[in-house]
Amino acid sequence: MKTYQLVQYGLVIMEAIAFLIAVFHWQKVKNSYWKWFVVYLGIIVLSEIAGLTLLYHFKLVWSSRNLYTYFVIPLEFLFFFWLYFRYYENRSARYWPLVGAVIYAVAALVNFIFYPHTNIGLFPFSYMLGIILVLALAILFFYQLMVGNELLGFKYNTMFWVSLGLLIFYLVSSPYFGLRQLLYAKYRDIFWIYYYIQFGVNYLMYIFFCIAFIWGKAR
Amino acid sequence: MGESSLNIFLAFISVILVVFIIGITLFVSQYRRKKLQYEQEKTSIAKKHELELLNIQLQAQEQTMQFIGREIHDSVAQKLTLAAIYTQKLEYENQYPGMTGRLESISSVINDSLHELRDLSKTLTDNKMHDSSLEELLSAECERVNETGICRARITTSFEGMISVTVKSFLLRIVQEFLQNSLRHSEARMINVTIEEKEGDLYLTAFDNGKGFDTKNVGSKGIGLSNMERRVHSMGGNFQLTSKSGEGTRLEVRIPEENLMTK
Repeated sequence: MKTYQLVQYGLVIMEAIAFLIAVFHWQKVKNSYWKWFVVYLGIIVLSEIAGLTLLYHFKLVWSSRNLYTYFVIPLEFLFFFWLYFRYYENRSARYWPLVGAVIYAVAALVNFIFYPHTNIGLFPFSYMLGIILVLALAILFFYQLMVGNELLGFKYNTMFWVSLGLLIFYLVSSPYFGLRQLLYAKYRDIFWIYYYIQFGVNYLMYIFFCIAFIWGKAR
Repeated sequence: MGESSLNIFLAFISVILVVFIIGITLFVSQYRRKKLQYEQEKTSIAKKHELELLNIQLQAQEQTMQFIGREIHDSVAQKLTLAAIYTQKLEYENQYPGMTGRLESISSVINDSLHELRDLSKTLTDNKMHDSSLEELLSAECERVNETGICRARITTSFEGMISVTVKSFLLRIVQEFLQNSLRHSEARMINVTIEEKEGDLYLTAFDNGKGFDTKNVGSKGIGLSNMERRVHSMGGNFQLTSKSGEGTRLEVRIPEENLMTK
């Protein structure tokens, strides 16, 4: 098994650990919307296992790619838009996640209908747009946290850790997703370095999700 | 094309790093600022709470002393008076000639005890706040300031209306706070306190010619000031404190006529 494959399997294990920790804290979240985050993590783990099995066991490269393009990635973005919408439910910023979700959904539909053969490997614009919109929501969250009264208790704010994970992951990995083809073709060394950095921040995001469940207090 | 893309890529990475560092710095500084603000508020609330407790404690102590004083006067002293009358009657009727000397002694002891108890009762129930006028109370405070030799305090009053004990007590505490602040912090040489009446309302003005202070940045002194303001507002009055560096401090209080008899 190659190193890059090991890193991919390692990520699935990290996701599974995050899911198990989330299940362990089920009692804490079962009466709030955060219970759906546990379900989301479970679906992500199953999807990743399915994706890697299709890719490496059955050698169905396009099936694996389609699974990510048409299911995993739209699910990720739409779920985080929904999560922010629930978080901002009684606040003035509650419409921004809805606006983000509509923009992303339209972009994804245009992508899937008019450019059906593009996928994550070819960086569809809907994917980059999704990253930008989630980043905007994470930044909005941090802005609201800093100007509001919840800053002192940030450690116990579940959304703080989730947003921190999303911010670091998407901020660091967006250049990789944007220029991956170019780096692979012309700057192979940089590509591989960034490949592992991108996985590193992905691991980090799931570590923050674990902290969110351990320290966070579901509202 | 390739090289320029790489440059864009590197520039993008640099921007992300800079944004991230700025974000962390802003977050940490904002957190520290809020933490400091929170600690200050906590200390201020604790001090206010302590002051309120002290006020309640003093009130309870005063009420207890008055109760004991009244009880001594109305109950024990009355019974002793009765005992003295009986003894004097026995002495006068001369039914026990051999005991005249002893009865005289008993009567003398009872009368001494009665005097001591009346003195004690008077001390316990003596309430300057009830018996003295606002002018007398404030003059006594000014006298105390003058005795320190630090500065000269003077009271001028033209107010002749009626005020309740509560309002009198609040105004006295406000002036006491002002005098103490001037003595402690202002380096003033002169303090003027004026009480006057305008269209039935009571106007209290206190002024010192000290070094003044920034009213927006009062720190721990703010508790005394906010207590003064709280007291004025509780009487439905207006409170204004103006101060400028080097130009002294001026306190203006107005209590509307309808609230002067607040209980």
